[in-house]
Amino acid sequence: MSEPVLVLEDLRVTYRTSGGAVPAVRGVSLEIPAGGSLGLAGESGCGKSTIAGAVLRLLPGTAEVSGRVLLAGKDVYELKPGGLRAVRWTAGAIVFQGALHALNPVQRIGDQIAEPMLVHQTVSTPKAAKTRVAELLESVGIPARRAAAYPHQLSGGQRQRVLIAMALACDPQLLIADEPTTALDVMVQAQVLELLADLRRQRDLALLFITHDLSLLTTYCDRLAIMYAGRIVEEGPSGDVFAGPSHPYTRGLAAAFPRIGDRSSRMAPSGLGGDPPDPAALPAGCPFHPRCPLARPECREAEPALRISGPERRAACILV
Amino acid sequence: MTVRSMTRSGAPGVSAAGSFWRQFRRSRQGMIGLAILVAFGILALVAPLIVDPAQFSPVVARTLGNPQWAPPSEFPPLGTDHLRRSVWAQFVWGSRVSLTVGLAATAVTMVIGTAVGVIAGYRGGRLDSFLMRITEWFLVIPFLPLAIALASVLGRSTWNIILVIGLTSWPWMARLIRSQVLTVKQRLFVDRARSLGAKSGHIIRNHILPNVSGLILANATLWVPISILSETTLSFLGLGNPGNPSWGKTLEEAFANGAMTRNAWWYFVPAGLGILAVVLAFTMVGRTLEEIADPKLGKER
Repeated sequence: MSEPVLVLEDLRVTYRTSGGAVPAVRGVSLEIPAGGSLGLAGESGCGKSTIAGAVLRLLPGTAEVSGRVLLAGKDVYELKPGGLRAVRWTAGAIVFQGALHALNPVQRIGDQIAEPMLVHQTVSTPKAAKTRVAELLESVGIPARRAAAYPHQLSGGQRQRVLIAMALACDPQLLIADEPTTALDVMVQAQVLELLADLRRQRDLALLFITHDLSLLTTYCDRLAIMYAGRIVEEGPSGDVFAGPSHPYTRGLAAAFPRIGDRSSRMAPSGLGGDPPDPAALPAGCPFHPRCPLARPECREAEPALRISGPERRAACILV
Repeated sequence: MTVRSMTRSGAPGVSAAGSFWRQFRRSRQGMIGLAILVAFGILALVAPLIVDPAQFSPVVARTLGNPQWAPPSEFPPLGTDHLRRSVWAQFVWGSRVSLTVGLAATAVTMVIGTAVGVIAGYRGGRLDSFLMRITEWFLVIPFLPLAIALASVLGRSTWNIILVIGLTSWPWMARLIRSQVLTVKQRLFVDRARSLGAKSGHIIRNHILPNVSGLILANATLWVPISILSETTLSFLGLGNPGNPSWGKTLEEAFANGAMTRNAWWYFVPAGLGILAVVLAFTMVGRTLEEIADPKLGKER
């Protein structure tokens, strides 16, 4: 097998705020092989979007990053500004959430899709860029003539497709999709996800899919990583993790989705009690213990490390 | 499918310029202002065909055999002044000078103000603080003393008036643009452009400037009348170019030579009305542009 497209080694991100240091990511290691897909799930504030920003070094100046991010074999945090610009979008591209805000309202969408190509000079003439834009638009299911439209003339689903077309413009090896379907209705959401899956198959793209919707990840990703309070608490093949969670937190997340046809889950919706912890004031020991139904006294003492919990599976809980 | 459109939705295929013009045409005050401006613009453009500026020299005016202080009934269309010069000729030529100064001074203001505002707002940090302190330094310089001092150093010319107005008015523009850039740079599409490897220059050109250009345009239009009034003030104080009569210059000469006490209304009324009309027209067009650029303003009316 070729080298992995993305490797995170003990990634730590701490935001310096006026209220003190807030650790958002506390030692995350993961790998995505070429053409592979990893789903990253967790509640709001668990650090999953911070990881997306850290991969392309897009975090604000108040963020302190340590550990290593290898994107297509290059350490993103060792690169000079020119090298960093070259890696952005050609090695890894982001499909942003909130399609309306990620598009410039006063620029035609065709020009915006062409932007990465012109920045990276992957096309030589404006005419070639135009042809390529038409191709990209067709590949995401938008008629090529719509290249002249402004973002406000498109529907929410179309705008999200435009962002996907833009992400594909420089043939990246890795696509980072940060909640690509929030604020879309369910039907459009399904279409956009099917499109992403098709494009992955055609282009052998690796995908880092970030969402809070566990059920989506099991359908569209090979592997699953569950984050809680800035760390990965469980990792493994997506079907296995969803069907038989090892960590009590994953169990809670999985149980929050009702199973169609299962009467008991309809009548007694189960989920997690309590709120995610404040990253600035994490509980001692396992950060999940205040909400954990199986918590024991020793859970308050030390934070468990990831350990093998099954074939190709790891979980961070003393009970496995 | 729901269209989550926060901007005004236009019909598909309609260009931005087309929809802009449609909105502008709907505003009565904008169209009246535009009509006045077009009229004065044409007058200013054809002025060299109607009027020979040589006749503003008192010697030439005397050789033409014009009467002195003639009312419009004796020397149509607008009579003559104390130096036997045609007031109509001065009015026509004055439109040219006033519009030139108004537009050129505004251009100077916009260029300096936009450059400083965009750099300060986009870069932020120490450069921002530094540029803003310079801006404040220029803000507190009183306009008239600086104008008088510069005119005495550089000599009395139309270009110096433009320079003085530009130098004293760019700080307001810079602050306005900076605040707008600060909000635009927070938007996600700027992050997106950075994430795809764009350099700052590219981001400013393609994403920041197009999103503040509406504001720049509306304010430029509102700044022209202020520049014209400043020019009038400076000319009235005797700082203008004597050989290039503007409306302000006409008012000054009428005042200095006792046109008011002589009841020679034809000498000062045309220039005064000209200033009023152009300033009002620019303000009307500017307000309309501002309302289109910022729809929230329009609803309050």
